[in-house]
Amino acid sequence: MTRLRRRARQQPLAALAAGVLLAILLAALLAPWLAPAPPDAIDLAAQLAPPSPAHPLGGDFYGRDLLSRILYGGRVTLLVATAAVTLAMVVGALVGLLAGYAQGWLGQVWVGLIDLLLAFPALLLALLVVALMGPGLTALAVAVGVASIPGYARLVRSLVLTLRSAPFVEAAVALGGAAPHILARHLLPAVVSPLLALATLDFGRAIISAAALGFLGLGAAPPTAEWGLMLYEGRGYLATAPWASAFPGLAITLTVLAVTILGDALTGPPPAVNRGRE
Amino acid sequence: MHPPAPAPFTAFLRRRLLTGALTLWAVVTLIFALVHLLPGDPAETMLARAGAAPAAVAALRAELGLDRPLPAQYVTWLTNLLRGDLGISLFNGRPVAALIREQAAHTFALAGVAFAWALLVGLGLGLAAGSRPGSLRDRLASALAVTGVAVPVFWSGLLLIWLFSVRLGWLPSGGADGWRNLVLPSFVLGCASAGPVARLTRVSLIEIFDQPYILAARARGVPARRLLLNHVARNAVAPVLTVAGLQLGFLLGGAVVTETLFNRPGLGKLLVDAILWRDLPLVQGVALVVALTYVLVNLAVDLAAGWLDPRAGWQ
Repeated sequence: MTRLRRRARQQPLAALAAGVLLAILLAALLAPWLAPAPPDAIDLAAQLAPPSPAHPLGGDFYGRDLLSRILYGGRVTLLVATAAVTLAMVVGALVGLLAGYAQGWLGQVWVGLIDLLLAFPALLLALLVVALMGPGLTALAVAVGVASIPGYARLVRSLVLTLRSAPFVEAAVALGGAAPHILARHLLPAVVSPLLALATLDFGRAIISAAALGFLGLGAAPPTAEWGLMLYEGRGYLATAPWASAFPGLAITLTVLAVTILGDALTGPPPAVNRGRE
Repeated sequence: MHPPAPAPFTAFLRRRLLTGALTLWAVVTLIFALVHLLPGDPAETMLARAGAAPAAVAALRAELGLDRPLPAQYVTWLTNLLRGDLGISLFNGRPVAALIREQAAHTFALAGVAFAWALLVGLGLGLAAGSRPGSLRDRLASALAVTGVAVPVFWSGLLLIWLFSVRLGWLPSGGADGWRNLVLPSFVLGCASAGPVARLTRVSLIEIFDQPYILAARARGVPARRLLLNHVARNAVAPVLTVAGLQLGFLLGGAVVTETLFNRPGLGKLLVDAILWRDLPLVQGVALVVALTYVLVNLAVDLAAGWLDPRAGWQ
C-alpha cells in the first residue's frame, strides 16, 4: 500500500487517471443502482430535453434519460473492449511465443502471418470481420480484437527472441525441458508484465474501435444503450439537442484519455530516456 | 560481431520490391480466404435477414460460383483480378470496379488533405515539444498529442460540425462539391493521426539531441537554427516518415468513420453500405482496394525512408 502511495505521489497525473478510470468502471458496474431510470424507459416530456434536475444530462429523441443510458452504455462498451483485448492478448501471446520459439522456417511462417495482418488497416480488418460474422456483440468483440493480435504477437516474439538465450532458459533446455514446458513455465511468466502494459494502452484503442463500429451502425443494435450507437443516434439532432451526442462522446473520450495516460505511465518512462542510453 | 557491410541501395530496393509483391499476393489471398474459409456460408449470410428458402440460397451460390471447388474459385478470383474485374455488386448489379472507381477520388482527396494536416499539426507539436524537453511548452504540446489520440474522430467531428456548421454557419457539414466541404472532415481526420506523429517526432528529436555528433556540432559553434535543420531534422526524417506511412493506413480506415459522419461519398461509405446491404462482392472489392493502397503506400514510404537515411532499412 505504501509503495502504491509513493508511486501515486511520483506520478500524480497517472494516479488521477487511475482514479477516473476506477470511477467509470464502478459507475458502469453499479448502473442498475446509480441510474435514475432504466436505460429504455421513455418519458415523452423529456424528448430532446436539455439537462434538468429530472434528467441531469437531458433526454434523447425518444425521451430516454441520457445519464441512465450513458451509465448502462458503459457496461456494453467496456465489456466489449475487455473481451476484445483479452482475446487479442491471448491469441497474440500464443502466436508470439510460437513465432519466437520456433526455429527456422516455421518461425518465419508465423512472422509472415503477423506481417500479413499488419498489412491491413485495423478498422478495415474489424469491418471485414463484422461483414463476415454478421451483427452482434460477439462479432463486435472479435472484430475489435482481431485487429490488435499482431501488436501483441510482435511484442511477445521480440521478448522471446531475447529471452531464448537467457541463462535460465538455456538451463531449462539443458535439463531436458520439453518445448511446451519451457514456453509455459519459463517464457510466459517473463512476458506477462510488458504484455499487460500493452493491453492497458490497447484497451483505449479497443474502446474507440468498438464505439466507432457502433457509430457506423455495425456494432451494438438499437435499442441497446452503447456509447458509439448513442452518438450515432444523437448526431441527427445536433442543432436542437447537442447534448444527446456530446455527453456519450465525452464519456468515450474521458475513458480513453484515462486509459492512455495510465498505459503511458505503466509502459515506463518515455522511451527516449531508455533508448538514449543503449 | 561486426555489423555486415551496408548493402547497396539497389539490393535493398530489389528485396523490398520482392517482399512488397509477396505482401500484395498474400493480401489478395487472405481476403479470398476470409470469405471462403470462415465458418458460415457467404450466400446464407447474405440472405440471412430475409430468412431465404434453400432454393434461393442455392441459386445465389451458383450465381457467385460458390458451388465450385475452392482452388477453381481461387484461380478465377486471381485471373479476374488481373483483368481488373472485381465481380458484380449484388445490390445494384453494377460492376464493383466501376463503383469503386467512382468513389475512390473522394476518399483519396480526403485522406491526402488529412495527411497534410497530420504532418503539419503533428510535426509542429512534436517539434515544439522535442526541441525543449521538459519545458512547459513540451508538457503542453505532449498533453495535446495525448488528447489527440484519445478523442475519437466521430466526437471531435461532431463538435466541429456543431461549432462551424450549426452555430457559426461558416462551413458545410457534409457533401463533396468543393474544397469547402473538405476542410472540416480532413482537419478532423488529420488531427486524429497527428498525435502519434507528434509523439514520435518528439522522441526522435530528444534521442538525436543526445547523440555525440550534435554535441560536436554544438562545440563547433553551429547556430541553433542550423543545428535543428541540418543535423537534427535530417536524422529524424526516416522514423517520422515510417510512422506517417502507418498513419496513412489509419487515415484510410478513419475515412470510413469520417465519411459517414460528414455524409461524404467515398470508399468508406461504400464499404459501410456494402456491409449493411450484405453485398459480399462489393465488400471484398473495397477491402481489397483499401488494403492494396495501404501496402503500396507503405512500400513507397519504406523506399523513401531507405533512400533518405541509409541506416534505416538496408540491413
